[in-house]
Amino acid sequence: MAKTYRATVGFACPADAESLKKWHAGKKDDAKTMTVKKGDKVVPYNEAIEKSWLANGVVEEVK
Amino acid sequence: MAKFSSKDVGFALLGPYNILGAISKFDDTVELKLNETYALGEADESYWSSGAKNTQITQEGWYDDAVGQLHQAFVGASSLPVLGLPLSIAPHGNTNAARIDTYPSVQRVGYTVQMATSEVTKAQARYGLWYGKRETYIVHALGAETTAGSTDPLDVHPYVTNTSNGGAVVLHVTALSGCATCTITVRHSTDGITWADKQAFQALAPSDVTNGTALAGQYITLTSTMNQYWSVAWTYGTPATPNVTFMVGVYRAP
Repeated sequence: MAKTYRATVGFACPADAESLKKWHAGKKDDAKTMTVKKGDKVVPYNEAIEKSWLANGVVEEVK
Repeated sequence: MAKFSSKDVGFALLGPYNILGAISKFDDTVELKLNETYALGEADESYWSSGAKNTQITQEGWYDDAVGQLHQAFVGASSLPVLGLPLSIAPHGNTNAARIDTYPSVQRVGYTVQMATSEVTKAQARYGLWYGKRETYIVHALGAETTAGSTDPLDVHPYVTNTSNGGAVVLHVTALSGCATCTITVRHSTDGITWADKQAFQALAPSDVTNGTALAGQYITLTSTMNQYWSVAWTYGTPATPNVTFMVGVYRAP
């Protein structure tokens, strides 16, 4: 089951797996993005985006 | 040393003013202060630097008297404040990820009109600062934005590593209308996919730009992580027909 995280800063990223795929393919203008406010609870939609959130230090795990 | 001619220069901004003349010549001189640290009887001289610098920039050229230009800033509306504002010059052009010279805060200004013909003025301006220039990269080229948004998909990627040395961000807003306020936020990222808010500039109103307040030219020192990828997001308060023209640059401490 996917972990739930809390945003430690405001952040933005591709909105779903399909958009992330477009992002990686260089079609960034076609990709939907989501903006998360500091303190919002978020659940990663796949492993790649979870890794990216953690690498950028934008989330902490909700205990 | 590389030379850049007037046509190469994308902009020269002092706070909200575009001070690039019809023809301009910039000269800068930077002095690094040294203090002696030796005492009587010591064999060799030794010196210590606090890192304090004294920078003097001289600009000479022809200017027109349009709103927001140098001549208007200094003479046309002499009550407009020009001190304490950041100065940015773009010798490599006005494009994203291009390197620019940013001076954090102009503290002394002199302006001498040499001659004037109708709307054109030949003048010399002098700017004094207590800081050296910062090697800054454009992350939002000087340009207009009419809807709230961000540059996230642009992949402005001026650096090849992440650092934790801190640095600074600089904002110049040259025009703002059609809304009550505008907030501009700088984001960074390690991978160009997930963007974390790094620093929000203080929100500004259209009157801040026309009056040339400190909000129209902001230089904010940052600490800790400075990643490779940078982007900018902007939002409006009470938007009707919002229109903002601005430039954002990022400096990373070595």
